[in-house]
Amino acid sequence: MKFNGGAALSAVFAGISLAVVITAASWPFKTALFPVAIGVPVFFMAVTEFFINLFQKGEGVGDAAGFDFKLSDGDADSRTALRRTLSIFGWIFGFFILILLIGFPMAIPIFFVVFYRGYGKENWKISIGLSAVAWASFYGLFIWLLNVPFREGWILSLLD
Amino acid sequence: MFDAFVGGLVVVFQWKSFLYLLIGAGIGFWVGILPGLGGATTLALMMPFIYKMTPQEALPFLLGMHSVVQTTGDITSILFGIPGEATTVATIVDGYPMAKKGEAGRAIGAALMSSLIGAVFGAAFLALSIPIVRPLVLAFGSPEMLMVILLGLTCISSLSGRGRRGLLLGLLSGGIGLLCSLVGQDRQAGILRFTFDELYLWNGLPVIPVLVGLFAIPEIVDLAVRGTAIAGDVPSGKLGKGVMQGVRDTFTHFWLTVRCSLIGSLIGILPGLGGGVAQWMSYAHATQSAKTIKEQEGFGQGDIRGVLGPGAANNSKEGAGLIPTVAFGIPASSGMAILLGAFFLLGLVPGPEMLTKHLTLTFSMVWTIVVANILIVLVSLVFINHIAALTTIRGKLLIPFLLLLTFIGAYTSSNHIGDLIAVLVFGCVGYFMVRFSWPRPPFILGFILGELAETYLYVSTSRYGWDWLYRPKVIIIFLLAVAVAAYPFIQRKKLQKGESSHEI
Repeated sequence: MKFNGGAALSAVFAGISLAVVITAASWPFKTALFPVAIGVPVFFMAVTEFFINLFQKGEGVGDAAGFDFKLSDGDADSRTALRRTLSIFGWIFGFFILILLIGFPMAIPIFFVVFYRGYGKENWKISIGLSAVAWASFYGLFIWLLNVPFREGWILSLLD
Repeated sequence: MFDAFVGGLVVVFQWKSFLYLLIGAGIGFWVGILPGLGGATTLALMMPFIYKMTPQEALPFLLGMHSVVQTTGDITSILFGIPGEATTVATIVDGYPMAKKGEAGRAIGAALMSSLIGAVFGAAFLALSIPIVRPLVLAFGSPEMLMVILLGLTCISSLSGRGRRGLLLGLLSGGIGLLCSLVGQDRQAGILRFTFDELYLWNGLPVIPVLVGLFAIPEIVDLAVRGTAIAGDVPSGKLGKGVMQGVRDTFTHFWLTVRCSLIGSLIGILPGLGGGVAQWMSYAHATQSAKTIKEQEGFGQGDIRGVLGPGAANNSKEGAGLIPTVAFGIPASSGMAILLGAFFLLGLVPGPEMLTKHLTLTFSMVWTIVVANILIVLVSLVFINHIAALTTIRGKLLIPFLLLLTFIGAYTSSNHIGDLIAVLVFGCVGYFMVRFSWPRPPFILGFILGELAETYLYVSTSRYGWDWLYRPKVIIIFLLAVAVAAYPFIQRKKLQKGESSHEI
């Protein structure tokens, strides 16, 4: 018996589907019908997949993998791959937090420069040049041409 | 009728109409390439510009733009694994692995040519349907629509992996997609479901942030982990060389392209279903064209047929989508709903007049779709080397731009910070699904079709009780759905039988 990532994913979805069914139980029939009708089989399928993961021999799902993109085996060993994965997720969340705090127009150049310098180890010329290209494309297309309303970010809202 | 047909072509090539068509197609080119900024949104943004135009100028402008968006949307999907449009997600499944193998040129060549064939097919479908459109559309009531949705859902069996576990994972993924579609205000009783007191979720989870997150984030993470360019170490000179091969592939698999165009047209004519469904049904159909088990296993890893099917279906549905819009004023998609608004602005009333008094104008729409697609495909083919070379840019330089496109693409969906949160949440879901080999296509089918299935079930039951189950067309489509669900298993058995007899 081995608790792996696949089992954890199945357990999460089993939990979600169970929560859906329990929540729907208090709703009127018409509102609850679909959530219950879908939630119950999803729960049982997720539990089945959970136990398959728990008791399977070997790694992965083998032939059962559907038609979809597969992560590269790559040259990186598993430790490096994990470190890079966590690092890039950190950058993605960091960009989101930056947008949340100071809004798109300011977050874009700051994120680009910091990313190129910190993650990409690029020189200042490339970092600032590409940041300028990104900001100019963003501003020209979305703000100047299309007039898309962008929120200004929490910090700037507080300062107003 | 023939006079109107030729007259339509003449209208398109009048210098002012043609100029507006060029401008529209040019805008559509970039809109398709930019993720998230969809054809419908851009149609809405362009509406103020048509006030002073005549119908002969405005329709080539708007339709020229709208009809090429899917064509160039495929390019972004193939090059970066980020859906250029919500309707070009299926192209990623095989197109992006091809780009990673250094076959971006071949994939784009195939996508462009199949898109062109699809567009011409859709336009021909529109032209041929004009005399018989009325009974065709009216034959589909809500029970039949529900069965068509069921037919779409049965494609999950084709999109799942091998064996019982493959089907389990496919159904599980589809079921989770269906659960996600339940978020929002219940259409029957108005009760809020799983909205967590957030106004943003009242209308349900928006499609674009979910799709962009689900597909773009795992691909960006993978690019970072690999630490190379998208095309790895393939020399840039080789990338565009497969273009003509891609074009030839379209003709090698010509009947597959035509069949997928037909699927796109049939789905396109039905209001509400749209490209989200057509692309996956055609992809599922493409996977069924495998002649050996090995061939079948190649789907998802860069099989050209996985690019051709969705490419053709996406574009053929555009022409077909005009049928109910023009003939009845029933928009087949959100883009067509906005186009309907343009009709009224231009003083045109959809209905019988469009098929009699304004028949020439209606045919000019057919020609606009054809001409705009031919132009955009030619332009794309000319610049394909430069476009494909983007896959040789170092990953570290590309990642911030991809993240920017991902976040902005999602944000322009409803201009709400919730869009970004949806991208992150579904990005993580997508990553773990890929990491543990859960197929994402069934999730999308479930997510797109869930709300429609629930709505049509209640409309059918409220209107007909349970008598709708005995309607002949419902029974026929149901049997077809059963056949579609069972076909992958029958095909598998046949392939296994064939291979074992070869071995003997």
